[in-house]
Amino acid sequence: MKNIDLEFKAENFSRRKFINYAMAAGIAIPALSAIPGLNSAHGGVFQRPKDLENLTELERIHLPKISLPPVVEDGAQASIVCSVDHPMDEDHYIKSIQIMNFQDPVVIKGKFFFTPANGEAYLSTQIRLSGGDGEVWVVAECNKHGKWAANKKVTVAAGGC
Amino acid sequence: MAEKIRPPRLRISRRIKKNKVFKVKVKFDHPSFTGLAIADDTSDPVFNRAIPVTFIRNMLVYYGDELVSRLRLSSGIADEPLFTFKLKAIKEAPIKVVFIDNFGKRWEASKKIKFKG
Repeated sequence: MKNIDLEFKAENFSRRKFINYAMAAGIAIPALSAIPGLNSAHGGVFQRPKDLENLTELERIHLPKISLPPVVEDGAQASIVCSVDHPMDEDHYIKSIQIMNFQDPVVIKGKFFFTPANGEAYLSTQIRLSGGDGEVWVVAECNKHGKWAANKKVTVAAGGC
Repeated sequence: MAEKIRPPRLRISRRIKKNKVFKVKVKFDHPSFTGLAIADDTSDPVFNRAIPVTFIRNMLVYYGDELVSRLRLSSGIADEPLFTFKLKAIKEAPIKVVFIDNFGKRWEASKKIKFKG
């Protein structure tokens, strides 16, 4: 059986065609990512609240809370507490909390996976941060509503990386 | 910096009530090195791997026989870390926390949950 797609040959793929496809993809990808329904799917897209002063109920229960001092003296032992005010029901719960800092050579600090048996999505630990100004990001993943990100600025006096 | 590795210690509240959420604290004296050193700090710091990397890779939490939580870590975690997390007291059963480092070595600590009141 002949398949039309299989008959596609490399020599027919001209430079003009390539430019046309590239332009179509360039328009389609940003347009698709602007659709809210696709953003809330379980992709790699983090959701952020539209207005931090007036959170909706959905934003309030999904946004991670970060407790981290604004100035850390010793970057080798920076205490951090992450929690999410989210119900931990059998069918609706926080799956994970991930801690990151993009200014550090080791970006991902750790990822804690929860189950409904945890009762609350809460984690306290100590992380290493490199010196200077940085931003610690915490990403919480809900099993129904995807990933939610929050960040906190921090200044580290003595780097610990 | 942790010179010696000591077995993990588990701390749980003595007053645990059924169906209430309680805190679990685990302290593990284990070294954590990124192994990185600044090779060139003239402009943006450039790091290279100066010493072998050492860190706790996984933490597994069992409540009874069930794996209830798991933590995947990197060398970005501090030396001698203290982890605090929460569990819902649904049954009287032991809590076991297992640590595995990047060399595959394994340590564990456990404590039995008993309800009060």
